[in-house]
Amino acid sequence: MDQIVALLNDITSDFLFLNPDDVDVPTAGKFMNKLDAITKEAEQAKAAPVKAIAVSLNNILEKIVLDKLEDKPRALQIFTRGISVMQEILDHQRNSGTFAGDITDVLAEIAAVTGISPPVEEAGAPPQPEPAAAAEEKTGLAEIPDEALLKDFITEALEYIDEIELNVLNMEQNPEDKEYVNAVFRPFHSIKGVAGFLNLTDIRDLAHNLENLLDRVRNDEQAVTRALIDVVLDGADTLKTMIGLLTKPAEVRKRELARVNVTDLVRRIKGVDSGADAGQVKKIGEILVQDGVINEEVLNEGLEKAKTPPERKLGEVLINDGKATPKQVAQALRKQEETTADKTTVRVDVRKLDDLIDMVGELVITHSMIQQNFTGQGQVDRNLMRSIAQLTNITSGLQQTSMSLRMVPIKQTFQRMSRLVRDLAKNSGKLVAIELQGEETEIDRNMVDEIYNPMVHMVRNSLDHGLERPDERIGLGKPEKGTLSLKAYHRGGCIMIEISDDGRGLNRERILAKAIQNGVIQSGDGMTDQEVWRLIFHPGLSTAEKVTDISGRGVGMDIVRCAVEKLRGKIDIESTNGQGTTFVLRFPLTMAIIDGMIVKVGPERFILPITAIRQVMRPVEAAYTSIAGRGEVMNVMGHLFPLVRLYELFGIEPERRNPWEAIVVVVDGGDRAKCLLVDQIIGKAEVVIKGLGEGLKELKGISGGAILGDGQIGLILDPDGLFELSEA
Amino acid sequence: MENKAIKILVVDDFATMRKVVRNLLKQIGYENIVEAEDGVSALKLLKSQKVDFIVSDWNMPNMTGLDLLKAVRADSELSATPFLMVTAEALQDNVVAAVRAGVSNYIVKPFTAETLNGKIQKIMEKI
Repeated sequence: MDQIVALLNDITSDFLFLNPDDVDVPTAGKFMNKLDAITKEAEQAKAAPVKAIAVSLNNILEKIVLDKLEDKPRALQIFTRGISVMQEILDHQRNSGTFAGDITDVLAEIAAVTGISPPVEEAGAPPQPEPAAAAEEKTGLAEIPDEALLKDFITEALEYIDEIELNVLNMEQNPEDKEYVNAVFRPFHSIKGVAGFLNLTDIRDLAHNLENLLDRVRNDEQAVTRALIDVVLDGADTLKTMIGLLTKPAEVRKRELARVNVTDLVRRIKGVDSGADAGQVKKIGEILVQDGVINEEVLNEGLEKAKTPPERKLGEVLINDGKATPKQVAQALRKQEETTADKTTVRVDVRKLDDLIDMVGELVITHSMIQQNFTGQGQVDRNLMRSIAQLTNITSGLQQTSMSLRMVPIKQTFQRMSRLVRDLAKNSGKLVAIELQGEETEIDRNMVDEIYNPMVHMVRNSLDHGLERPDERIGLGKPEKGTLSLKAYHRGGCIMIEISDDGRGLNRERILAKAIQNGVIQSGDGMTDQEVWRLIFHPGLSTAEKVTDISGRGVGMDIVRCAVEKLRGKIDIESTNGQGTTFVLRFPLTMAIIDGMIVKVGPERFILPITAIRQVMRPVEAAYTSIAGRGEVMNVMGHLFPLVRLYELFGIEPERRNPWEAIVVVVDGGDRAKCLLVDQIIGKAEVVIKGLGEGLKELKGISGGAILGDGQIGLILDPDGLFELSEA
Repeated sequence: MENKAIKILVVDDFATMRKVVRNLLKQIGYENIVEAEDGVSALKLLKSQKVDFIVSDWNMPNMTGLDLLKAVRADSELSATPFLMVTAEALQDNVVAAVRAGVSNYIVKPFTAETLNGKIQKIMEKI
């Protein structure tokens, strides 16, 4: 209590010597701190009236500091009055032992000045974002356009924006970690600040909107949703474009800026759904209501049910209750997907694209035929040669462009995986951090859907069987949070996708035991780890001891293998017991072109997919053995492979019948490898795959045809089918 | 009395922004300017050389302007140094927090050379 009196006396004596104009920022700060102290003391002493006045007086000071008072001298008068009322109250208390005195009047007067009604109990005004009044102020630099400064700004701002992307991903994974949000917020904030000085109003406004959105995230008013991530990334891209345009002449800038639909973007920024509902543009329920599948009542009922534990998705609830058919929900989901799709792109029927790419493929081949024809002749017109050379450039450019039309970054697929990982982790009670690498790696649009299912399967596998539970991980001395990383990159005309986890790794003994039990192998002796790991691709071999809700049901990795091979891909496993497993997937960049080896059998030429080839050689005679009842085998570096004579399968008259005179190609197909006997290797070629037409679809051993460089046709071999033929 | 020879420390993580402030200060006649890119390096600099005036941004990584202000005020040797806080908006909470921490004044981005000059003059008059 004495403390309050002392503080009050302090304020009074300070205040006596002040002119109204002297109340500057530091002085106000000093008073505020003292009033804060009084507020605290008064609260402890249960002196409610004193506290109420002290809080209100602080409001006056805040207004002074913010320069929001119309009549400062009057405000200071009332300030003095407030202090004396406090003193009166304290005097009265000292004499009578109670806090008394009418404070309504003085509080009303203070409120009249500050415009803040006196709080009943809570101190302080709610945080009110003040409009940036000063933003209208013209900057002193506007008249002097500083080229050097602008250049600095462009360089620095672009650097900052590059950082945003990375941090956005971190933010998505750790929405609770405010440091990441800050790291995304800050560049926008800084860009806004400088843009204001440079009078770049459009950039300033966009950055300002993005900054506000992220500020809401910082204040937990906005959840980190997919829509938010998308809009922030789009915003960063647009800012980048706008800043990049600053170097261009004014008229170019204007024209290009008109193409960047900033208004639309700002609307999206402002319209980001604050809900934690995964940021869907349109809720699935809304779409169903719109389509007339359900009415509002059913929707609300469904939403309630979906929320009550065990939590389920709305669609699931509706299907279970018979309110909607799975098909209707699926349709609504598709619609939802469509609405979330990027609007700045043109949607083209994939068939048209395929046709285009097909035609370009033909063009490339025809072109090379023409070229070959001319090079065969001695005397050729030089002008013609020059024209052909130019045509070569154009054709290859056209080919690249047409291929790129169908290429999309793998980002979307990865993001879907991240979602999946989050959901699965939640369901299984495991802690998982997801790391993404190489999201900008491009992949054939047609393959995106095809690789989705196998990837889901592998991700599930890693989460389900690979990563340990948190308690288990701690026991093993690993970080509590497991890591699942997805990595994509291009290598040698292939796209590589790696799915790794730092979980328990594959268990050699358990896989072998299961394989022996199921009669897949007789014994594991002499098998390399690689060979053992490959066993998990065998149908019906699932090593998880417990079938879980997430991935189990006994469905093994054979489905994954089939799906990958259908795409002419390959799958490898690297695993270290106790340290984790990595699935390495290799796909051709595109489904339309195949990297092949042309082989000759008799007069016929065939194309073998390079991905299927393990080894090519001319064996020594001793490597060949014919085993009664098991057919012919080749010994290739200590391993025995069955020999398949291509000419026998296709009824061709070959040039050579003895393997040691011909060529043997070790080929993978399905879950096995065999040796194909061919006459000779012609060379390697990229060919455009042609379907054989409806009638020949079921043909075994041949997956398609292609026009070779000289205009002749070659059939593309399908190893798996060939093996089946040879086994029949 | 105007003293244009004082040494001013400009703290901002955005290099372009430091340049903007430097240019504005030069326009109004202040030539003796040093820079720091965040609160941590600002404090380091303050320990090694005498600075007469600090102009600091609010929002910075590692150490915010507010934290820098608090650190300056808590340091017996530095506590009297005038401190002008640069904020993006006059957010009441921010400004009040800075005032409570003993800021000399604050200035809202974007500002003109005149506004900046006014704020500096006012602060320097009191010393």
